[in-house]
Amino acid sequence: MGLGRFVVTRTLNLVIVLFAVIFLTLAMAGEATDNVVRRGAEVYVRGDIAEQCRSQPQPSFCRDAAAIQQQMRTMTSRYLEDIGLNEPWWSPKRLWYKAYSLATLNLGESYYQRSYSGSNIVRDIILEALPKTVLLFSTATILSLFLGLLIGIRAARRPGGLLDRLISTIGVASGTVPLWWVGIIVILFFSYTLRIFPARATPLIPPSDPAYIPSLLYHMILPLVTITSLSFGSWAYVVRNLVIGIMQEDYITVAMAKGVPERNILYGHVLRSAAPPVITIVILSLSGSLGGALITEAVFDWPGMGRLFYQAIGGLDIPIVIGLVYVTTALYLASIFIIDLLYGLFDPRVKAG
Amino acid sequence: MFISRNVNYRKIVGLTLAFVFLTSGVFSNTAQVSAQQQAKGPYLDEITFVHYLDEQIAAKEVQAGNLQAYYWRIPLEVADDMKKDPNVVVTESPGGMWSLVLNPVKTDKLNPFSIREVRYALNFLINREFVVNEILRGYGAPQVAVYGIYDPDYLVVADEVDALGIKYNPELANQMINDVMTKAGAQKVGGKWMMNNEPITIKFFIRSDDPRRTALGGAVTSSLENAGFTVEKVFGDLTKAFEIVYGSDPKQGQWHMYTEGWGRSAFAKYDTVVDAQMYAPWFGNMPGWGEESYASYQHPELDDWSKRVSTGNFTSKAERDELIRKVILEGIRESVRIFVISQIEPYVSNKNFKGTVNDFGAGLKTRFTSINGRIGDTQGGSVKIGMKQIYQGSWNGPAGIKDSYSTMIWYTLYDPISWTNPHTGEVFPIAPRLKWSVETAGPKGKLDVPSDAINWDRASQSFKPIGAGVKATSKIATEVTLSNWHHGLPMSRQDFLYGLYFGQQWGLSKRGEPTYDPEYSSQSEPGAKLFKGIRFIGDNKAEVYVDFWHFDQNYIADSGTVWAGMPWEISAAAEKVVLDKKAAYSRSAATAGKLPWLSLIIKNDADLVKAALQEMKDKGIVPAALQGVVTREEATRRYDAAIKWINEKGHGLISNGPYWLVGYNPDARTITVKRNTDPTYPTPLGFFKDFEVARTAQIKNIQVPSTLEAGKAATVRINVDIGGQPSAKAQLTYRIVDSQGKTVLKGNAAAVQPTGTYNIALASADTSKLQVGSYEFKLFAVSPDAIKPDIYQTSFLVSPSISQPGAPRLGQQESPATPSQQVLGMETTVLIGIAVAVIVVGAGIAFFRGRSKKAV
Repeated sequence: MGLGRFVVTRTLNLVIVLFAVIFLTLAMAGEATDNVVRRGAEVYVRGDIAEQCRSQPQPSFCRDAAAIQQQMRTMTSRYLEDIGLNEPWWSPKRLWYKAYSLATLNLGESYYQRSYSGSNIVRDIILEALPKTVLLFSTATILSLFLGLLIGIRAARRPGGLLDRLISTIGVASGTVPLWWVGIIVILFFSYTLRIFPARATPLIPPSDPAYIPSLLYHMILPLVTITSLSFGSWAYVVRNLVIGIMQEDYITVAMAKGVPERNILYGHVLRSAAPPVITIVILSLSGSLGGALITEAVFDWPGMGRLFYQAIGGLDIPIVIGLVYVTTALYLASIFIIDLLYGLFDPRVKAG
Repeated sequence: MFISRNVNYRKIVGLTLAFVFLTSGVFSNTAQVSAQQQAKGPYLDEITFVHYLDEQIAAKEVQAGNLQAYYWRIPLEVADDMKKDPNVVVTESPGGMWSLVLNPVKTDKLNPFSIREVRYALNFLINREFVVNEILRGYGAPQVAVYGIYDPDYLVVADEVDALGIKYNPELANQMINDVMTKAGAQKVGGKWMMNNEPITIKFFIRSDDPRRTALGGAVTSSLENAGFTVEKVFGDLTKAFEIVYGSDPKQGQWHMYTEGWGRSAFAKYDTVVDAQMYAPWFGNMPGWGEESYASYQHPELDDWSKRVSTGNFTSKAERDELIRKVILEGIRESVRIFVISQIEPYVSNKNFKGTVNDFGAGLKTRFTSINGRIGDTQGGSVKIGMKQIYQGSWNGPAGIKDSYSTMIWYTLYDPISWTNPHTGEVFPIAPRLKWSVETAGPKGKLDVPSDAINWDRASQSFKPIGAGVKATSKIATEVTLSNWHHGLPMSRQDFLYGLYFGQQWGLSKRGEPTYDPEYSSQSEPGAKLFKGIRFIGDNKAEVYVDFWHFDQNYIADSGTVWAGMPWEISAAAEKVVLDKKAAYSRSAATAGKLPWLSLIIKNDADLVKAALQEMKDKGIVPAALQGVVTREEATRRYDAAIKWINEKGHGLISNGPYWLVGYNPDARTITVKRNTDPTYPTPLGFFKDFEVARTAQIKNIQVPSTLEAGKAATVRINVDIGGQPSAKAQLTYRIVDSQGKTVLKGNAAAVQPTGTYNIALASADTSKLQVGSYEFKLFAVSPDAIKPDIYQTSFLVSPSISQPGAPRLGQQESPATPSQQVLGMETTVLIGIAVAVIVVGAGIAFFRGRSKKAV
């Protein structure tokens, strides 16, 4: 199979998978979800009406019981209409429209969230949050990867040595500690005990201010260091395991027997062999990092995808939740596609298969 | 006292400003100098509202001095630590409530909660004190009815609710349950209730996303199991509750009980809907949830009474109170919703941030904190205040600024003319801005509306005299103090006229008309219909005629004030933007029309408004509502000022409040406001200072005799402080309750000299009503300045009357023989006791004398 045909086949596969996921999600979120959202809407509307009627100045409809009930019905049906629940879930119109909308990145309108420009369009809101997440989490992922590679290889050179044991411990331990919890501890120590970094990860000055970028970098240090320090250990541990495994292969033993310098063996042969799984993990990690981290972003008040998710779930802002799920799924599939392409480029067996 | 200060300010400032207003053309310079000499407005120069989503981090920021306050409650665990820090002030505000809602519908298998007596018995199975002390760490209070001690209507129902004697009493509950369950055909086998050889199971939906409510579920489960029920715990979050509790027909029996939680926000002296919301099926908040296809809870009397409370269908306060008492008592007896506790919510501020106000409804985040808050005691300085959310929804007058976060900031920018007292919930005119008086023929009569009063005529699109023969229920005469808008031009009658036009035009429009907004129009229509006409007397005086009555005249006045929150040119330009379909007022209209939801603080939307202003200026457009009132030159001056403002500030939010909006920084998620330094701004510095301390009543000393002789007059002396000073203004209500929980005597204490002293004089006729035995004495002391009562409770014994041993007493009429026998028996017992004592003592003396003789 040629590269072109390979790309076309893979692209078609991914599009089919994406649409299958959309339809499956819509089908799974069928009547039960509709019912939940409908009841939720009624509960919220009742609460809202009660709140309006006990506030001053009191809306005039509150002076008529029939008007109150009518207002409840009107607000509920309007709300359901807004989110497309006026049609049954199985309606071809709704299914097709939703699928078409999602495929064209028309993700609908948020109930509560607003973009910086005041837009309530989900796409605009996500497109504002995404770069922030890339800035923090993708940077942290790249840093972790770099540190993990260096330390992992070094640890693998002396299996059972001090560094190896240390990395194994850190690798396991860091994977078990919740990131947000460490975030709080780090904030308490660096922001309130030592008072050297701000707790809030975004500066108060506007981006138009010349001091904005240095200030942003300074504010970012705490979350960046926290995320990196908790993830590089796992990376190092994975790399260390891969390298040790490859070091036991026959061709490495032969190279060592032939007197090839260790450095050449490590960087010329071992790392080359370890590259495909490492590339896979790197790409999946990078695409995974685009989803941000829900509670961690809330703790550092970082305006990225994770915090958006956190707020959307808290406020039952369903269009944002669906939009975020769709975007992260699409990004995940895109990264799989890239991995497939890279494998196809570097490993002829994949293309043939 | 705030009220007295209020009156003084009104006189002094009102006269001063009236003079300034009338002579501004001639003596403008003199007036400005004079105005500048008197400090006005808020204390702070600048407030930056900063988004902090995580409450713990926000609390630490307050502790570190990076924030001066956080306008959101903090976690209880954190509050205990904060209290130990001398740099932090923890303000405890009334919070939400917890309740249990029960499924009262009969299901295929026996649903014990379909039996009213079982539901009622549950009140005695809940250990509310345990919930407060152990689960809430003391941050709460037991609550039996929807009204808690911070609710203005609490004292209306306290008597009757207390008389029910609801407290943790599992023995009594078991007894009540045993009786009715046995009648229902159930059997208790091995301590478990069984029906048709199957255990009677209660499906208890417990919220697992709130650990404290999960603990409440655990405690109630134990009590129910001890009472013999088998409990199937169903854990879930709100979404699952939507599916199971709210989304299933109660008849299916998917749930029998649910741990509800309620928030607290608006604080009103007369809450119109809470009775309906919590007890009456018509509001749709009781099981069945108003869904026609479900088997729903029904109670026509509760519906009727609560509807009358909600819609003002009563002719006096006494009638309203009686309706409320009926709803609450029947609601408790029905026990479909059982209240458990009310929460106390801790807020934090830095000790350097003084002048904060604790609103019994909104907590620390009331507008008064932003206006009265200060660093030091002089005007100046800036603060940062943390916000849970900084920007939601949209900022426009007709159908925006609805979420609580936006309103917190908006009310620092806008100067309302009336507001609710943060400690009493009473509506009051804000004196420097408004004087009002009311004339009413309500609830049943009508007043003639003068024929020269005007109203907006939708047909001719102009204001027209209403003519002869129009009648209205009430007339509100208002006199307002005008000032400059934030952009520097003065407020005028034109602004009010535009508001009146808008309310009538958009409020009465129907679907399909260009001036129809699905949210604004439906909400405003009934009010627009109540408005009968207005007669302006100069720029700042008006008479408003409305078809509205309330026994509290301030409520009538509040329904007919004439005021504006934004200058007419901004409103008109925004209206043009909406009519041109470039944006929409409401979220619904925006979604339907695929338009932006107009938000004046967003630059894009402000630019739309600016373009409309420019077009109106270029074409010399004067809105129809102001034709003949505003000249083209005046309109141009307004347009220019607004355009200049938008160009300079980047937003279109212009108002008349104590602060003006610097801007919204979406990147940093901050909103900054600055002090309004315009010399015409009327509110004096520190005008709301009296709100800093909730001047609650405190019972300092009380002398209740431990024993009272029946039929003999007695006096209880009480000392009460208000706001730390002895005061004669407290209202003291007492009740004497017998061992069965029945109120035997009740009344008020009278203020006597010296100040702060009160007497409860129990006449001999009163104490004659008391039978021998144990009684409970309960005293409520309430300040007119803060509704939270101080409550004192003690027990005392009533001894028989010695002077008239055989006299019949009230309460013995129905069955005189038995009590007489009891009294006789008691007296005989006493006499025998005395005789025995004499014999014993005599025998003892004889014995010792005998021994001493022997010893000798």
